[in-house]
Amino acid sequence: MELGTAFVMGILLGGLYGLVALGLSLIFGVVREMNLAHGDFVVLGSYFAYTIVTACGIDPILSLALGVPVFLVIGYVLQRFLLNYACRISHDTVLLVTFGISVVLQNVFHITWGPLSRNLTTPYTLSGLAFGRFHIPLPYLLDFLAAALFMTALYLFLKHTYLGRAIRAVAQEPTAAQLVGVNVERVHAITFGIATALCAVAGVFLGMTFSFTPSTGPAFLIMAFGVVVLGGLGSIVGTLIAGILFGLVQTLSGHFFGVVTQTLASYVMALVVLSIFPKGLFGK
Amino acid sequence: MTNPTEKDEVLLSVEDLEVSYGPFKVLMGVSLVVKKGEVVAVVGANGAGKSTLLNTIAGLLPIRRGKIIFEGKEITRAPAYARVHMGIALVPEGRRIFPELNVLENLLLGSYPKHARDDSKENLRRVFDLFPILEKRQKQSAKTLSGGEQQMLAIGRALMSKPKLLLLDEMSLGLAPLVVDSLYAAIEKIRLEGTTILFVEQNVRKSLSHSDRGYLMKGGKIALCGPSRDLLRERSIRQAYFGISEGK
Repeated sequence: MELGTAFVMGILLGGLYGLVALGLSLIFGVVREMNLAHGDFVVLGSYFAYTIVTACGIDPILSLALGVPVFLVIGYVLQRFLLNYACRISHDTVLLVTFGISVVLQNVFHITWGPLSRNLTTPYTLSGLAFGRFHIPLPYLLDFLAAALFMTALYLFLKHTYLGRAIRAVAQEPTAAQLVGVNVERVHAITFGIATALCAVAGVFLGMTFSFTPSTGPAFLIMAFGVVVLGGLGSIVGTLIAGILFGLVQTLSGHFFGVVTQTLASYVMALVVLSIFPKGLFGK
Repeated sequence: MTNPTEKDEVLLSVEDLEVSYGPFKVLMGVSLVVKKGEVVAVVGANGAGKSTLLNTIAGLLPIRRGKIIFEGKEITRAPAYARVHMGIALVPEGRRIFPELNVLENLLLGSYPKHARDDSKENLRRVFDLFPILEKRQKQSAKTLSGGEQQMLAIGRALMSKPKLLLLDEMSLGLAPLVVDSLYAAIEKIRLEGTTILFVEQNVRKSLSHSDRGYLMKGGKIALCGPSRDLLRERSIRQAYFGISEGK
């Protein structure tokens, strides 16, 4: 791959990483939970779209019209009726419960869709755009546009609606949030629902960019965790920038040192940045 | 405790309240009544249980025994957020504003309860008239405000929910005397608009001279109660609180 192309692809890939990490960042920042099943929810999003695409023959992006509301409800119910109770016991309990969900989901994927790798292909996923010397696969561009779109939407929602302000209030001062009439556990459930809906979105774009298997989830969890910590807790801009850094380091290290160094290089980069900014790039 | 003719006037009544932190009893059988339109002060030394009392009325602490009745309805087990919707707003000790949100966002969160949203513009105007400095600082993030301004913001935020009962916990703690005076002036205006106020202070003289009735707490119990002007003349209070030290 030519250097300029590697650079542009790294930035665009960063959009996908940011999108995958966005839900995790939201849960981490507001509910203060670590969702170990996050990567598996993203993959569930991929399989969900895969099923609809094969059954109805519609475009994977259009399948989100169903995927987003369904995942919103799944996330809400999960937090409201399971994780809120786990939360009251301890944070370790939340880790255990979400780890359990992760194991269950991976096995459900295996039983339902088999062990073979799948992807969400459409006529345009294999096409690309040529800008002079650069050749950019179309899915990478879509990844970035989707990340920009959903991050902007989330930002505007958090900034300008009562519910969005309540979510930010809960993230900052849960006790004071109760004192202005916010039902904190309900806001946690809504936040988890939004984060899970973002997993549906990330799953579609992941499936259009890469192939996925029942055990793809954990790798994306670890990547998303790196992005969230690097970007700074609860910062949307931080999540995007950190995603781009991860994408860039991966494509550039692949370009210079070969594919085997990609994962190592991105975490070395994360460690170096964190040693300079211990709270992440945009952490408060 | 109240005779039938007065009953419709009672806004809040607390009966035989018992609250503990683990094995430590903090409130031991506290009873108190607040009537509509009154300003009631709860005074006492540090550790007497005043803040615990307010936090319990606001729903932040679980109750071991006793009842809380608001507008004739028992709310003993209602969660804190639900009590805000019923019309109880607490300005907590330490203010607990939302530091990263700007002043306007902090205030708008105050009108989060559905009944307050429609009037949020009008209430915002009232709060800005009460504390003009907040209007000037509305786009500033709350953490950049001075202590006094933060207290004004906390009070303003509570007023945005159009409370029937405003609870104020140690609002003058750590503030300069001039700022404290302006806060008391604001309280006077809030009361003239018809809001009932129950507040807690360590400064006995000041709080009794700004209230209709007072309760003196000591060791988790009500030691004395009555009209504030009578309490100000009470010998035991004068000796204990206006003597050499105002502390314990």
